[in-house]
Parts: sequence; C-alpha cells; structure tokens
Amino acid sequence: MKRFLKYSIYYLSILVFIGFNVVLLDSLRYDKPVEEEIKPKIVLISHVYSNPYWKQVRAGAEKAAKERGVIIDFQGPDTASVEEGIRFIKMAYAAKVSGIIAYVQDETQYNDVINKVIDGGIPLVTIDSDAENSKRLAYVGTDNVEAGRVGGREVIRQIGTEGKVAIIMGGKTVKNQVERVKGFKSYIDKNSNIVIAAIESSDSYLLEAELAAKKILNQHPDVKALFCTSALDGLGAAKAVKSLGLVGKVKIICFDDLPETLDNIEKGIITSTVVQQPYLMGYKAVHIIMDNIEGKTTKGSFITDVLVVDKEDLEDYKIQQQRYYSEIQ
Amino acid sequence: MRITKYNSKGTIAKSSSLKRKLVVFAVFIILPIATSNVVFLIMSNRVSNIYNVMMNRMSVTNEIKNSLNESFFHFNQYILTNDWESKRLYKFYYDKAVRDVIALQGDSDINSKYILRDLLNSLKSFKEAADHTIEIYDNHSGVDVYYDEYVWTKEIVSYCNAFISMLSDSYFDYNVNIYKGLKQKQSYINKVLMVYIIVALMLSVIYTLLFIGDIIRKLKELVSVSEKVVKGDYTYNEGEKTHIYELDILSEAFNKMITHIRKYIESLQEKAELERKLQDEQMKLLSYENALKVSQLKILQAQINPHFLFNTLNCISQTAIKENAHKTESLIRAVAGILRYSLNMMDRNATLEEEVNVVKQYMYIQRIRYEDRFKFNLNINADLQKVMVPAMTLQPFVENAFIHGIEPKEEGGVINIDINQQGDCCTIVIEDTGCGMDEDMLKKIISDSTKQQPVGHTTSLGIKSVVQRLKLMYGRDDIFSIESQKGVGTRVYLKIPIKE
Repeated sequence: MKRFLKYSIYYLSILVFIGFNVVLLDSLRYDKPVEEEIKPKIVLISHVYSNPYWKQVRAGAEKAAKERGVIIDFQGPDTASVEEGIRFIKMAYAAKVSGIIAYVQDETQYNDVINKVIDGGIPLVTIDSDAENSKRLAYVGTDNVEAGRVGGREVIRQIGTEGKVAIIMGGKTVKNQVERVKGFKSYIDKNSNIVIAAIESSDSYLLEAELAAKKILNQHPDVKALFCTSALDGLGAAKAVKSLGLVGKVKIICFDDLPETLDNIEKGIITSTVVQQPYLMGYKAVHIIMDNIEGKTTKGSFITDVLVVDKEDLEDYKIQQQRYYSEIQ
Repeated sequence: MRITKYNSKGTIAKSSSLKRKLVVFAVFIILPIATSNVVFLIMSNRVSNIYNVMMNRMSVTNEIKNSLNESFFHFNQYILTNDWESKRLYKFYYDKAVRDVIALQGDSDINSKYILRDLLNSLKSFKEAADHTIEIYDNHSGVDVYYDEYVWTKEIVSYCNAFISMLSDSYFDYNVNIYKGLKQKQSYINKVLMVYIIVALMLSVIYTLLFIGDIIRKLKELVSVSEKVVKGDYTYNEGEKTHIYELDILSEAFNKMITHIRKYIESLQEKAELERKLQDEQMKLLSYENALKVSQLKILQAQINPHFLFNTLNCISQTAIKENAHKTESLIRAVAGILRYSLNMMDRNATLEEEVNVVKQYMYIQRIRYEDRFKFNLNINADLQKVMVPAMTLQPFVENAFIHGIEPKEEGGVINIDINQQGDCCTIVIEDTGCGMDEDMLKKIISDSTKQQPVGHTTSLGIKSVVQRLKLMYGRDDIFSIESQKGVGTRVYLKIPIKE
C-alpha cells in the first residue's frame, strides 16, 4: 500500500509536470491568422448608416457578395446628408473600387458624380431611390407608386369601399412619399368611394407625426383609417390613436417594419404595414454589379415587390427577418 | 526513479540513496519555477514585439501622411510658381508615399490590407488628377480651365488623408485586439502557473512527509533495538526496509553488529561453563579422596586406639627403665614419637625439618632391627625450616627403601638422603643400593596403592598418596620422579618449591 502510494506520487508528479508543460506550451502557441486573399470590393452607400432597414440591405448584399467572391464595404452618413453621400461615392471612385451601390439622396445633385463614376469605368447601381436621368447602370428598389397602390388595396380590405381616410406623409416634396400618395390616391379613386379627408406632413419626425394625427382625428372624428407613408408616421399615428382612446376604431395602415411598428401590430394599434424587401434589394444590386463586371451587361430598373404584414402573418415575418439579420453576423 | 543497487555483500538493496531523494525533491521545486520563468520571458518578449511592430507601422503611416502632404504642397507650389524643382519634389514625395504603402502591404492584417489597397488606388488617382492638372497648366491654359481638375485633386488628397486615418485606426484596433488576446492569455497562463506551483508544492510536501516518515520510523526502530541491547537482549531484528539506501545500510550494519556481539557472548559463556564443569569434577575428586583418607584414618583409628597405644607404650617404656633395659626404652620412645607425629600432623603441613626428625627416629628403630646391614647417610644443604610439605612425606619413601631395597638383600646396602637447595626449589634425593624393583613393582608403587597394601606397611598411606598430596599442594606435576634398576637400587627425586 505504502509502496503503491510512493510510486503513485512519482508517476503523479511526472504526469503533473508533463501536463502543465503541455498546457503552458500550448497556450504559448502563436496562432497566426489565416492569410485571407484580398478580394474585389463593392462599396454600399446607405441612406443612414445605423438604420435597421439598411442593415437588411447590407445582409442581402453580403449574401450575394459571398456567392460572387467579393466583399462589401458598407458606408453611410451618420445622419442623412447629401454632401456626405456624394463624398462617399467620390471616395470610392478615387479608391477605384470594383463597384458602387448608392442610395440617391437628391437626384439633381447626384447626377454629376454618378456620371463621373460611370465615365471612370466603375459600375454604379442606385438602390432604394433612383437617379433616372444619370448614367447609372441600374436601379434596384421599390416602385413607390405601386407600393401606394398596395397600401390603397389594404385600406379597402380593412374598411371597405365607403368612408373617410386621412394621409400622413413624411415630407411633401420627398419623391418616394409623393409617389406613394399618388399610387394610393389613384387606387382608391378607381376602386372605391372612399374620401380622403386630409393630407398632413410630418417631415419624417415622430413628434410631428403624432401632432398631425391628433389634428386630423380632432378635425375629422369620422375618419376610419390613417394611411401613413413613412415608418415614423405610423408610430406617431399609433401614439395619437392610443392617447385618444381610439384603438380599434381608427385603423392605421403604415409603411416599413421598425421593431416598434411590429410591436404595435402585435398590440393591435397598427392594423397592418406595407413592407419593402431591403434584403432582396441588396442581394440583387450586388448581382447586377457583378454581372456587369463579368461582361453581362445588365441595365434598367429592378423592382422588388412590397408585402403587407398584419397581425396574422407577423410571426412568420419576424422569423424571416431574424434569418436575414443573422446572416450579417 | 527507483534504483536497484548491489551492496558490498551482493544482496539486492532496493532503495534509492538519500542524495537521489534530495535531487528529486529539488527538481520538484525548481522545475515549476524554471518553467514559469521561461513562459514569462516568452510572454513579455511577445508583448514587446507586438509593441515594436505597432510603433513601426504607426510611424510608417505617419510618414505616408507627411509624404502625401509634402507631395501635394509641392504640386500646389508648382501650380503657383511654375518652379520645376517643386514638380520634381512632388513626384519624389509621391513615389516615397507609394513605396511606403507597398512596404506596409507586406505584413498587415486583412482589414488594413483593404484600406491599403484603397489608399494606394487613391494615391494613384491623386497622381492622375495632379498630372492632368499639370498638363492643362503646362498648356498655358487659364485658371478656369484646370480649376475643376485642381479641386478634384485636392479632394482626392483629403480622401487619401481619410484613408490614412482609417489605416491608423485599423492598425490600432488590430493591435489592441492582439494585446487584449495576449492579456487574456497571460492571465490564463498566470492561473495555470499558480495551480502548477501549488500542485508541485503539495506533491513535494507529501513527498517530504513520506520521506521524513521513512527516516523517523527507521530511527525509532533503531532506538528500540538499541534499548533492547542495553537491557541485554541481543535478538536479531530484521527490520523494515525503507526506501532510503543509507538508512538501510546503517540498520543492516547495526543488526550485524548485534549478531556478532551475541555470538561472542555465547562463546564466552560456553567456555566458562566448560571451566566450571572441570572445576566441579576436580572438586569431586578431591572430596572423594578426602573422604577416602578420612575413612582410612577411621579404619586406622578403629584398629588401634591411640591413647591406649601411647599409654601402653609409656607403660612399656617405664617398665624398661625399671628393668634397666635402656635400649628397649629408647626404641619404644622412637616408635611413640613417630606415631604421635603421624597422628598429630595428619591435618596440617610440616616443615622439612620435622620430617627429617621423624626419618631420623625411624632410622633409629631400623638400626636396632637391622643392626649393621645398612648404612644411612643424611646430607643436608638447605634451610629446612623454609620448606613446607604435607606431614609424613619423607618417611614412606624411606620405608619403601627398606621394604623393597634393604630387607630382601642379604648383604644389606646404603640409604642416602641428599637435600639441596637449587634456586627457588629444594631437591630431595632418596636412594638405596638395595635389590631394586622390576617394572611391575614400580607401577604398583606409583599407582594407587591403597587397595593392595604392601607388606610391612604401617603408618604411611602409600607413595602414590604422598605424591598426589604434594602435587595438589603445589599445583605442579614435576614434583616426583623415580628410577629403579633390578639388583642396583632405587632413586627417588622430589623437587619441592620453596614458599616464602
């Protein structure tokens, strides 16, 4: 027994020594990072860098980039700024990147720089908002007139063909807002007797949107539904409806899928929302650039469909969104 | 770590030496410390390397920025002053910036590499734009013609600067990440080392406890064995084997020593036993002889009541005086003297002088009996008072000379007694020129003659008895010798040591 103890002490100490040295030497091992080969780069310039909508665009772009063997450099101003946007394009041009995907903040100011880039031999695709008159290779995004029509159809589905509705839009001169209102109007004029009681602008600010909604509901208590053409308009309207105790009585049909929007749908404050497919936009834009680089000339407008999300298909939609987000990480 | 050693006796001693144990112990302690030192050295070396690389990159990045700005400055200068030197410097700095960028591309992380590519391309764009501006300018066009291109060049420079600051950030991030990783690793290594050292210490403590336990157990064993030895218990104790070579040797040697001592003591005891037995036997013999003598004496006493005999002899002596038979009277006195002497001196030693007197009285009696048939010569050359002998030592020899020498011979003979002092010995020679004795006779005399009492034997207890008493008294064997020849005579030698 004692002898056994003695021997086990010897063996144990040898084991301990070897074990600890192996652990130490292993921890000293310097793992050199694997040499990644440098790939062509496509710069994606967003509207606002931290916007969740643009994160989905990025996710789609990254997916396509992986498929085509390029990398995405996601850029964008911290707050919406035309100068910043142009600067990013120019910088990408100076750095002679393989392709540029850009959101056009202001068509007239962007045309020159877009033309310069195309003349310099770098493919450029506009995304989400277009500069039709420039030499850009292609546009990928929503047809906002069509999106307005889809909104109109949803309003009719919710309230029928009679009654009053009001519109809150995120800026009276903003191109996509105007287009959406235009599409909406033309659809209900054609398909129903619905009267548009009022059109208010929030300039895409939450507080203004709420005030506008309250104003409408006070002036027109018989309004059956509020049609909001931008993401924040919907949230503002939801706040107003909630504070006036009109939940359920006044339907809200809005745009986009901010988390708060989805929350409000779940609570039943917002009835439904028209969503675009940013993931698909990003995905398509990269493929168009790559096709052009590889010699397959692809030009024109590529329209991505809009979807209507209400309380029923909220869960499925959330799961799909989750999948897109997880692809960025 | 165990060793098998053959010690001096060739038996297998399965234990490791003390030295080896101590070395093992030291190794237990030293190895973890050495390992941790080495690991720390490597870690700090790595940190300083990373720092050096970072500083180097940062300085090169700064260099690029300076070169670019110099280049743009000289380009500007050229446009303003049309100085050819400025044009050369513009190109020189541009080339330097490009060289530095390309150098940095060699060993950068992937993020920085992308930025470096953008920077390099931007630098090239700058060169193109600047060269284009200069071309237009050289064609002596007005400022309105090259102005757009000049502004574009300026913008590109600002983009380049933006890329350079991005590059700095990227390098910084990269190194911060590496540093964080190293720091994490270092704290991990610290923990491992801590555990390692604690475990090693624990192991060495256990080892030491076992080791000390070994020593103490052996020492206790040795102490108990030596206590036993002190009490006189020499039983051999095999003892437990330890794992320490030196202790085993010590214990083995100790046990062997005990065994040797025990064997020695045993042999001494055997010897003493033998001697005791010998003494016992001698004592038996002596007491036997003593008993014999006592019994002989009893017999003698039973035969003649001495008082009766003395009274009778006195009566005869007085009768002889009354009858004027003086010769008879002196004869009887001589016989009575001898008889008294032999009875009185039975239990004690006598001086040689007393002995000689008895012999003289005996001769007087014999003279009357044999008349002129013998001659007696007494030759004394020694201090007789100093020589002690048992009583009735000489008389039996003289009697023997009469019985075996003079009596059977018709014509008679001579009896000589020579007493001489020689050193510390006194030699007494008693010789007669009688008929001598044959060997059978001699044997009879020398052998125990108490059973076959010779003819004419009266008071003596036999020559053999006398010789034995002399030998016992002086503890020597060479006291008595006798030689005899048929028809020539007999000679007896006595050699008696003189006692102070």
